[in-house]
Amino acid sequence: MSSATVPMEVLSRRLGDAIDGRRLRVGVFTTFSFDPAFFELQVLPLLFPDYSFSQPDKVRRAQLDDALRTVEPLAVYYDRQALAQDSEPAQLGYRRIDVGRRTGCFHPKVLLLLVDDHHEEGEFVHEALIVGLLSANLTRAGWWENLECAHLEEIKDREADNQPCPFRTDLLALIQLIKWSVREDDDQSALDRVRKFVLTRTQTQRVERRKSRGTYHTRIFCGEKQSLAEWLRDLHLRDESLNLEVLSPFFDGDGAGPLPALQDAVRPRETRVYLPTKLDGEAEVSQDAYAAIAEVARWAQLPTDVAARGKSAEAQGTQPRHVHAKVYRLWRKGGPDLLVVGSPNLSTPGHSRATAGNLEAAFLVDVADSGYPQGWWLEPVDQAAERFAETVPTEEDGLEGVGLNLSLQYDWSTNELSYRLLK
Amino acid sequence: MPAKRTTPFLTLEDPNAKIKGSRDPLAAQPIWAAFGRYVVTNLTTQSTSVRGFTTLLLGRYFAAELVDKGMANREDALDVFLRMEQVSAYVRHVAHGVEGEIRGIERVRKTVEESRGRVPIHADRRGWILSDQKVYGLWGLYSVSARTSGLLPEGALDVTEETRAFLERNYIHRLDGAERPLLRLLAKGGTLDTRTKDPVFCALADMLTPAFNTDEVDFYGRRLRDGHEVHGAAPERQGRFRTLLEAETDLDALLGRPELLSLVKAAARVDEGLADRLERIAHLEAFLAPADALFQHILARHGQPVEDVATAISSHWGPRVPHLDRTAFAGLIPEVLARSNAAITRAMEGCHDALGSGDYAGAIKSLVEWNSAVMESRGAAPWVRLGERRRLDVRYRGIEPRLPDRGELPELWRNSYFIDALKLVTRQLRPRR
Repeated sequence: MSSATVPMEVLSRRLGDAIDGRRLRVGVFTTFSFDPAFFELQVLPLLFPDYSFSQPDKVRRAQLDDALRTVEPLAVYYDRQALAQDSEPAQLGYRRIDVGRRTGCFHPKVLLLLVDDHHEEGEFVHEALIVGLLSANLTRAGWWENLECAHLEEIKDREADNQPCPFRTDLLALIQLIKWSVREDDDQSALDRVRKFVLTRTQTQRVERRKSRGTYHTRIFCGEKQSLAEWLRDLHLRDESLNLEVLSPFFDGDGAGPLPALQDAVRPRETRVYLPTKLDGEAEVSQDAYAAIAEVARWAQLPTDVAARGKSAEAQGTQPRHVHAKVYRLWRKGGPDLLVVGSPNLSTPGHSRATAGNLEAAFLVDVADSGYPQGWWLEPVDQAAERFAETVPTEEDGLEGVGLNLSLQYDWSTNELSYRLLK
Repeated sequence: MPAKRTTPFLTLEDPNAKIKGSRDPLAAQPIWAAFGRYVVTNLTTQSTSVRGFTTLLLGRYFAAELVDKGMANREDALDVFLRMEQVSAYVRHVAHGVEGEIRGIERVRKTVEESRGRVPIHADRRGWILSDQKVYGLWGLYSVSARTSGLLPEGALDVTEETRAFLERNYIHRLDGAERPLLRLLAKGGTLDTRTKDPVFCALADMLTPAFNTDEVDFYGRRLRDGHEVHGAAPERQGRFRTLLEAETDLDALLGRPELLSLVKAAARVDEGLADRLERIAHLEAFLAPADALFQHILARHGQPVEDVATAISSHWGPRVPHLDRTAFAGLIPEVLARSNAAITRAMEGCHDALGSGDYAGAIKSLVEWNSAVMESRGAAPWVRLGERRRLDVRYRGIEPRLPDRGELPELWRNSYFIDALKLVTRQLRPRR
C-alpha cells in the first residue's frame, strides 16, 4: 500500500464536496472530545458555502452568528469528560449537549446534515441527509492533523431516489442510541428532525439480503444488540477466506482484547495489526498486549508515505502524523474488500454492545469495485518491539475527571443564567 | 436522482494545518514576526511566489476591466479573481509543470487527471482548488503583502497606476484574440481546455512562464524583493539585505544560525542598523528555538516528575543551552513586551535565565507559566500544569517531535523571520543559468 493505492482526501474538502453548495437545514455532530473554538471557526464555515468568511476570529464569529440564523437546529453531542481543556469556550448559538454514559464513553464521531436538494427537472426542493461516520473528533488534531478515516453517504428523499437504503434501519438505531444517551430535558430537536426525515421521507423498503450482485450492502455498526464480532458473524464472512487488517491507535492494557473474537467471527486467512510506534522506536502498547496480539496476528506498519507530513524539505525528518484511524479491512484479491471505518478502537469497550461498553459508530462498505488495487495496506514489522509504553496510551489521555457535574448557560437574548447540577 | 457512490478514505493533513502560528502555544509568532519585519518589510511566510503575485495582479486588473465594461458588478470582483486564480493554476501546472508553488496543487493535479484536461472554472465549490479558496488562496494570503509593497490601492478592486502600466506592457498585449474569451470565462465561469491549442490557454501559458523578463525582474525586484515602496521602512535596507543574502547564503536552503551570523558580519560593513537588527534576531532565536523544543518535549511527558524530566534533558543537552546572553536578551525585552504582556515576558525572562544556567527544572516551570499566561490571554486553559508532587499534568498531548541532541543545539533554528520568504523571492528573480 502507498498513498497512491488507498483513497486519501482532506476531510474538510470532502465534506465541502458532499454539501456541494446546498443550503444546510439541520446539523448534528457527535464527538468524543470537543474543541468548541476549533469547531466554530474552522468546521462551521464549511457548512455555509455561500458565505465568504473573514480571517479574523471576531469578524468570522459575527458572520457565523448570522449564518446560523438560517439553520433550523444545529447540535453537537460530546462526552462530558472530554471537553478540550486547552480550547477557548464556545461563543455561538447552537446546542451543545454533554453526554455522560453509565457504561464506557460516548465515542461515536457522527455527522448528520440535512440539506436542501434541488430536483433536477422541477422547482420542488427536497431534502437530503448526508451521513458521515468518522474516527476524527471535533478537534484540530482530528480534523486537520491526524491520520483519520471517514466515510460519507447521502440518503435522498424517496421521491428523488426510490432505491431502498440498506443502512436505514441501522441509522435509526444509531439515532435512538444517541437520544437515549442524553437526559430527557435536553433539547434534541435537531436529532428529532433528522430522525423524522429518515422515518417519513426515505424509502421504507428493507434490504434483507447481505449483498447484491456480489457486492455487500453498506451497513452501520452501532452496537445496538451485538458486539462488533457478533455483528460481523451475522454477515457470514467465515467462508469468504478473507485477510484481516486492523488499524487502531488504542488497545486494551493487557491481553489481545476483542481480536480473538473478531477472528473467530470472520476466520481470516491472515491477520495484520498496525503497531503504533514512537519516533524513538517505543511501541505504544503494553508489553502484555503486544505479546498476546503477536500470538494470533502479525504486527505491521503503514508505509511511510501514508502518514508523512508532505514532501517538502521542511516536512522531511518531522514526526509522521498520529494515526488515529480505526479501520478493519476484510479482503481478498478478486473478492470482497470490506472496510469497517469509524470510531471503534481494537479494545474491549470499543467492540462491546452499546449497553456494555462505549457507544460507537462505523460504516461497513464494500469497495471491491472502487478501482483501487487490492493488496495489503500494512507491511509486517521485521523486528520485534523491545521497548513499550510505561503508561498505555488511551483515548482518555489528557482529560480531566469532572469533579462537579455542573453546566452553566447564559442566554444573551433574555439575560438569563441557567444551571444544571447532575448527581 | 440517486446519491453518488462514495468510497471511505483516510485523511490527508489539512493544508490549513501547515499555516504557521495557527496554534502557537507560546505565542512566539507575533514576537519573532515583529523582529523579522525590520529586515523583511513586506513578505509573509505564505506570500513567496512571484507568479502568485502576477496572478493576484492580473485577477484584480481583469475584475476592474469587467466592471468598466459592464460585464460584472463591483461585488463580483472576488468571484472574477477566484476564477483567474484557477485559470492561472491550471495553466502553470499543465503548460510549465509547476507543482509546489501553486496553492491547491493537489486539487489541480487531480482535476486535470479526472477531467481529461477540460477543467472547471467557477467561483463556487465546483471550481475551487482549495477547501476555502477565498480565505486560503491568493486573495486571502497575498493581498496584504501586495498592498504593503505598493502594488495595490486600498479597496477590493484594481491595481495602482504603475502596476496597471506594467501589466499592460508585459501581459495584456499578449492576449491578442484571447481577451474576449478570457474575460467571458472570468465573468461567467465555464471550462478551460488545457489539452488543445485553446487561445486562452496558450496566451496565458506565454505570460506565466517560470522565467522572468528584464522588465519583470526590475518591477518585482524593486517592489517585492527590495521593498522600495514600503511606507516607513528604512530606505534601501531590504535591498542591501537582499544583496547580502545573495552573496553570503545559499538561497536554496532554509535560514540557519551560521548563515545569520555571517550576515551580521557582512551587514556591519554596509549598514550598522541592519547588522544590529540581525544580531537581535540571533539572540532571540537562540532562546526561542530551544524553548519551543523543550515545550514540545514536555507535552509528551505526562505524569513524570519535573526533576526526572530535567535530569534527562541535562544528560541530553549538557550543562547549559549555548548562545544565551543575558544582557543582550534584556535589551530585547521592551520589544518583546510590546508584542505580548507582562506575565508572558516575565516567564520568558525566567526561562531564558534557567536555560542559560542549565537549570532545566526551572526552565520547565517557566515554560509552564509562559504557556499558562498565553492561554489565559486567549481565555483558555493551559496545555500543561504542575500537578501533585511536581508531576507534569499535560492536558494537550501533541505529537512528540524528536528532541534535538546536544550536537544540534548550537545551530537550532525554528522561525523564519520572513527571511526564507525573501530568499525564495530573490531566487525566483535571479537570472537563470
